[in-house]
Amino acid sequence: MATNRVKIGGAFELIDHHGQHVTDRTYRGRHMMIFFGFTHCRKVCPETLGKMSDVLDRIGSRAEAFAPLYITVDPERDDPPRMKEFLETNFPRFTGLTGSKEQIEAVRSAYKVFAQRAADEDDPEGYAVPHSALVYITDRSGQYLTHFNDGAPTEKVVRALQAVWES
Amino acid sequence: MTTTVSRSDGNAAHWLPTGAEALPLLDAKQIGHLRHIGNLARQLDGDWSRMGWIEAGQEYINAYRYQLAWMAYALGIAHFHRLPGAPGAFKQSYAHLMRKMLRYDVWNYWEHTSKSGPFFDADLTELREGWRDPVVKENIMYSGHVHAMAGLFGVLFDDDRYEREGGLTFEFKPVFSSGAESFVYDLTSLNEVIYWQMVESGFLGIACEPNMVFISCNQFPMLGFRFHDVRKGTEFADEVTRAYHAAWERKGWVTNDDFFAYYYVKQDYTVGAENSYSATILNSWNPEFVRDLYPRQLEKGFIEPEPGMLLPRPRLITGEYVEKFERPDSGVGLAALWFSEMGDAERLEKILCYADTYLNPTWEKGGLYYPRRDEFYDADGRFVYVDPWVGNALIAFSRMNVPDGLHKLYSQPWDKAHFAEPNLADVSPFIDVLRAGYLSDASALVVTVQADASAKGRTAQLAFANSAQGSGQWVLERDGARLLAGDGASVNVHDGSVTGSIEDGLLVLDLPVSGATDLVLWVNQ
Repeated sequence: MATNRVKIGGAFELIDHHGQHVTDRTYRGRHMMIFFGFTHCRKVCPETLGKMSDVLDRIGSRAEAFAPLYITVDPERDDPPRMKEFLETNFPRFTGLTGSKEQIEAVRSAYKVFAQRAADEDDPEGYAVPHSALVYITDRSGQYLTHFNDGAPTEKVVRALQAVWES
Repeated sequence: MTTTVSRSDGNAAHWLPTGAEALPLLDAKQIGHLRHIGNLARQLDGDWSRMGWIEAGQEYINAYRYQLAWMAYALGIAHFHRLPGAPGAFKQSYAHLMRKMLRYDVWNYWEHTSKSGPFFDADLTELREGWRDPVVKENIMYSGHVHAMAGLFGVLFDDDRYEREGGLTFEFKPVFSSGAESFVYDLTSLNEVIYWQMVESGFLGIACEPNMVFISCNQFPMLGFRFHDVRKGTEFADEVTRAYHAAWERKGWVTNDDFFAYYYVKQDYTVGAENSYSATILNSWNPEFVRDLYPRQLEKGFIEPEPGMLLPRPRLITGEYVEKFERPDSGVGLAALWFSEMGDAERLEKILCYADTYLNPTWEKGGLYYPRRDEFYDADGRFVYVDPWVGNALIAFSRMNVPDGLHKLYSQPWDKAHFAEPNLADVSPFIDVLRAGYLSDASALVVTVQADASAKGRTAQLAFANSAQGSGQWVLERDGARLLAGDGASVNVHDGSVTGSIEDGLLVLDLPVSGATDLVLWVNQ
């Protein structure tokens, strides 16, 4: 009798920030580095995207083996142009992915990501989407390998990505 | 061979090594609680004598799972803080409790409870499809305890039986109908299941009953994460506790009346539940926060029914949850837990004094417990309600605990060196162990044992592990007189009333025991 294990990740169909239809298969051959967030996020997303960009800088040419993806949990506001503007200005290593509400819900659920719309105290007209702050790493065939939380020291993530690259 | 190490000149008996006087010595009530827990643990599977309660469905707070878990924690705390040199006094009973915890009797409520209902979710329009697997999703009121218990077993006994593949398997084996199922887990796979639910919840925690997240029940997986980290070298606990603390800082830990919240997930709504239970466990990893709240929470709910006694104010200590559902509460036991962990000796003594005076402490087969009583008040208007959770487990835990006992267990668990020390690895079940600790400066394991009332004079078997230290030579004394001497392979008997042998690397001693008997195993002689 096999041991019950938690399955993380899986197939997805989304739109990248260039407006191209993509799936998990689009990134086969590279390790997906997936972070979920929303472009109106003021703290967690900028910090994590910045940190991971720094990590990728530090592993040099090995970064080519990774596909840094930023999947929105706010498809209502994060359309491809909005994501493109946000990422190309601030975090150009990352490709933004968005989709229909159902598509986003499916990929969010597959990666066990928490995201819940809430009032934004600093923007009464808008809203926030508090969300998980995990960065997922897959193998080159799209299977979940590991993840990092937002408290993981940069050095540790650098070492881990080097180990993933060498594996 | 002569013994050359120094002996104590203090108050302890002269044959005991220096430092023995500082080792904890259990009192009669503590011994009685351990004996009672052992008695319940050794009941045949399916025999739940002394553990039943008025509610038949194993859903509410006196269910077997809570009793089993807290009896295991009581054993764990007693071993860790009071008898660290005697894993053999605890391990078998703990394993029995664990085996019972995995039984279908304990978790079969979940197939029904998982369907939810208006009790849990007022907005529910139709019942959910229920499921049988008791740990795969929600039900942290069960899975959290399994997580903590299995992890603690490894941490206490350096034994991986629940960490091996299939070590935590939940079996459904109907006699007449078809459809037997096994839900196969081990400590790590259960750890994963719980971790990812924590992630998915935004670290607010996992539901007990569908849609209802309690702070209290979500503290046990924190213990589980920590124990998994200790055993496996992982780093779950730091991540989860940090994120959990942040999530509840945003949500609001306590309601206006300083009760810890429980949370209706769909409705995004919190209600005050209780204070003492959550605070006790929360203290394991978040002691500053708990101590900051303690004075405020104390103000709310205690009365002194008589000088020297303390009692939770009825229906206050356990808050709105109990009030709402018109169920009895376990306030005496929960408050005792809380005071014991806070190190509030004065209040602990007062509440135990009330229990000992009015809650019918009862000795049975050498064990001490407080029998179930369903009425709230006696003819004189005194609170006399006792449920089996309180009577079997919570007061026992409180008597065994030390100040910050859970916090110390969480933050300073034993390392590998501890398990290499001489220890009492096994002991006949009719023997009570009153004292057991290894004194490294003296290279001596001190053990005090007695036979329970039904077994005075019977020949007991005690097995010592790691007797061959350093030179490999050891000497075993009883009340200062040499019984055995030897090394890792041979035993010389010096007293005709005992026998000794080396079996599977253990030094096995058979000796008659009646009253309290001091044994000292001198190693590296």
